[in-house]
Amino acid sequence: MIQPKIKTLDEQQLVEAAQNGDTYAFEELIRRYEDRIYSLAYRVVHDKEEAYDVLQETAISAFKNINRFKGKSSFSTWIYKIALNFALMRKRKQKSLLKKAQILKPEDDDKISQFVDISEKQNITDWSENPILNLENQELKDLLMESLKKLPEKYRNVLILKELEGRSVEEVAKILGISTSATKTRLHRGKLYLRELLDKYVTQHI
Amino acid sequence: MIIRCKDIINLLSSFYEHELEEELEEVFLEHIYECQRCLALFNTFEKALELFHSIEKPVKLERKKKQEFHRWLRVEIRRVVIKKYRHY
Repeated sequence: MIQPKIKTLDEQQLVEAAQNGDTYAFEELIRRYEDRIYSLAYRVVHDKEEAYDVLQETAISAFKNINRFKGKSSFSTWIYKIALNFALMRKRKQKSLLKKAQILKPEDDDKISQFVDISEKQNITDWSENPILNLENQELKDLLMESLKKLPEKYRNVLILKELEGRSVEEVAKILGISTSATKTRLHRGKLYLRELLDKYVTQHI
Repeated sequence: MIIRCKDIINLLSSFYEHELEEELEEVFLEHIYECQRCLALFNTFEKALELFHSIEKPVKLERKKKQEFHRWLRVEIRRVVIKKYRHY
């Protein structure tokens, strides 16, 4: 049982206590982020057991390295970065297994560029009110999920962190170790990819 | 300031995130009200994101699994601490 006093400490106080060897403070820090770490991991690996493994790896790695945390970013950004790295390692393992089985091939970068290049398109149909685009439509849900899995990692990661996890562009940039302008570019292309994907889906169903 | 359809494509995300400066935002709006193609582009861009946001709900650890994790973490932390002190 964690001491009640620990629960009243703010993040910075908990980090300081954990860095001074208070293991209960560290446990409390993890309790505050465990749901978000698990959710992020699940969105990357799409498997509950693997997401749980990522949570364990993240927690123990953070404990071993807590004194390396210098407070340049927030604790949540720091631990998210650790979690994302573990999740991506697992994702890459899954991918290499899938590649061997030739089940799922990620789209390559050139293909994405061609796909999202709509500047030459003369007519764009406004399907935003089309009734087939509702969340009761399982086919549509599957399409979005599968497409997200097939997106190159660099676009998928920014979409997950920014659009699904609700992190700011600056935080996403820190977590991924890229510039904010690169983050914005990837986000923009990822979003255009989603629009084009739905465009093709609706066109096929009209 | 005049913006073309090609510029609208590049500005979609910034407009959606309310990151455009006031003057540019106004020009953007003027353009999409007058250009049906760009209005369709913006509406469908917004709809795609709305669908994407609602498709994946956060996944939560079940209560039992969470308790298992807390027990596991406490044991693992002890192990790490003991190992560290054995080292000295």
